[in-house]
Amino acid sequence: MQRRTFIINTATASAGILTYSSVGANILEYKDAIIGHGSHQYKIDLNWGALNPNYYPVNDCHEMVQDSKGRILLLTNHTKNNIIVYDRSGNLLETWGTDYPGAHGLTLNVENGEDFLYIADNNRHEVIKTTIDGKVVQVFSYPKESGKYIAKEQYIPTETTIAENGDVYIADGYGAQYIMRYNAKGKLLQTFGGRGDEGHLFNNAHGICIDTRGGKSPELLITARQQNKLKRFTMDGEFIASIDLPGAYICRPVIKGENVYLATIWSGDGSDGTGFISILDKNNKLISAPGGCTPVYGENGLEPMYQSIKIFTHPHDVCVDDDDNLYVAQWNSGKTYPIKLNRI
Amino acid sequence: MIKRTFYSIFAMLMLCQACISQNTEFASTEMFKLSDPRIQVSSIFFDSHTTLNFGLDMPNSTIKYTLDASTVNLNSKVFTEPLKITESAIIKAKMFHPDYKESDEIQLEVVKISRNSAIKQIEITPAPSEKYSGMGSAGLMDLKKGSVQFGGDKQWLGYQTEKISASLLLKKNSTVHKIVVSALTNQSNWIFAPGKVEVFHGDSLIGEMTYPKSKKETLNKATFLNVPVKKGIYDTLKVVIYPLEEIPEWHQGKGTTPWVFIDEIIIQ
Repeated sequence: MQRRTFIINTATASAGILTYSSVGANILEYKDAIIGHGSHQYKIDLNWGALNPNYYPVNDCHEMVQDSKGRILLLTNHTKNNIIVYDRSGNLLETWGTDYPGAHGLTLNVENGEDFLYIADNNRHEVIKTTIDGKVVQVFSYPKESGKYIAKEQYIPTETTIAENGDVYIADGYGAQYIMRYNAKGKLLQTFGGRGDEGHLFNNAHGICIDTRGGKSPELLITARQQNKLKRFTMDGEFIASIDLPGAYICRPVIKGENVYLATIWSGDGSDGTGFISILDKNNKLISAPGGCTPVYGENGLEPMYQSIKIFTHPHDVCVDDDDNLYVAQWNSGKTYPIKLNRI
Repeated sequence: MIKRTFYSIFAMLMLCQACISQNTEFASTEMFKLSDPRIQVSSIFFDSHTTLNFGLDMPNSTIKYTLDASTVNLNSKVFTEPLKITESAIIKAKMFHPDYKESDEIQLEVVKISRNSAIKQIEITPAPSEKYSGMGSAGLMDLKKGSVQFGGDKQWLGYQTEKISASLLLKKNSTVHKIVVSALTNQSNWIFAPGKVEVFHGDSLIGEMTYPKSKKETLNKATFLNVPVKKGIYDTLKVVIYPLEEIPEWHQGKGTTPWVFIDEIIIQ
């Protein structure tokens, strides 16, 4: 919404070209908005990646990754161009993909020096592995062999992560809440999780990633979005502990350096139009919440979080580039393109 | 000549514009609205008082409020510390900031009630939907409010039906002048406030009220439907709640039967 207003404002400014001096004067009066807390504060670039929606339309902007060449890839569930590839300045490089009506999860994995993408498709009820330019190389269809499903519609995968040994973990975040573990060849090795409130169970296992921060042996970080928790598991699916983030409906965890970044799709009481970005430190403490209130830890842990400024509408994923700038893809935000946050 | 000068100035301006647009233009503060103030009351229903509080986290911001349902403006009272409210009130509040746009106005209704529920027993027909059966009819007289996030909240009874009928057995010598039905509005989830409530004693109608507002597009909130009744001492009452006949035209679910969620019936 804000973005649309901005575009209208810009259009007015360009149309009234002879009012240049007054535009200049206004720029001087403007204060750049700065969001976030402590070490992680940002200025907001609403223009980044904006395209002509007649040619390059988006519905929900679900997820974004940066590839080995430094390009930024956006996954949207618009089948005119499921993947939109940008350079870091937000210029369009290419688009591809017309077969992913439920395009939701986008994970990049480098295998023998080559970039591969794993697209979790909600509508197709499967995960598709492609080359970086969209050639399909493998399909992980619905895990009938797990014995947990009787119809493919019960399986609605949202995210994928790939271990060093090639094992592929798929989170059934909108389905029965199981985590599927395959070997690289696509053989189902293990199923764990499932729906429920206990530590090892999930309500909306929306995202998954592998955590090796600080040189520790790999662990899984899995979102339980409706529970406002990030859960730690061993690579064998044993529950270790939960990280409580009350008021933060977190999407997938994204690790960069010692931090975990999580787009937070709703916040506070979960009302429409809310959300912010959550940034955790190496001890998994929330240290900055761009768009949200200041994180405060009291006797009972983190005080409930809520949105403080309407910058974002349902952030769904965050991509962190080499300079620690953030690219925020949003769900159900009025078909807007991503928002870039420049770290200051 | 004049024309040429004009064109060259024009060209220069275009160039300037081009130079500027090459640098990133960051979004400025006044493009963004503050989020709704975070309101807290110690209790929605209260017998002596309830305490009103707001989250004051945002630096340099102020919260202004009214308690008489009037719209908040710059001249409204500034909230500085928790406030005791001793009468039923419609609280409205807004957040202001020197740099950011003011927030939307939020609203919360608090209701004064007698110490204990005057209701001894409630029987309700039909039974609520299996998925939203809450704590059954006992939950309608425990004076505990369901949350606006209704999912998994046992205070709510959810219905998708034409008519809900609650038979109340009252405590001895209960003087009644008003019935309040506490409902939920959450239209994006197809939950609409009822369109009409009737109150009977035996066969005689002692109060009724229609709520045309239920059809209008509204934000998610607790909705209190007040039905004044013929003042008197009653031992039994029947409260009949009519959901809207169908979801209104403007909604994606138009023409279908809406959900009705109720969490409390209050005797005043």
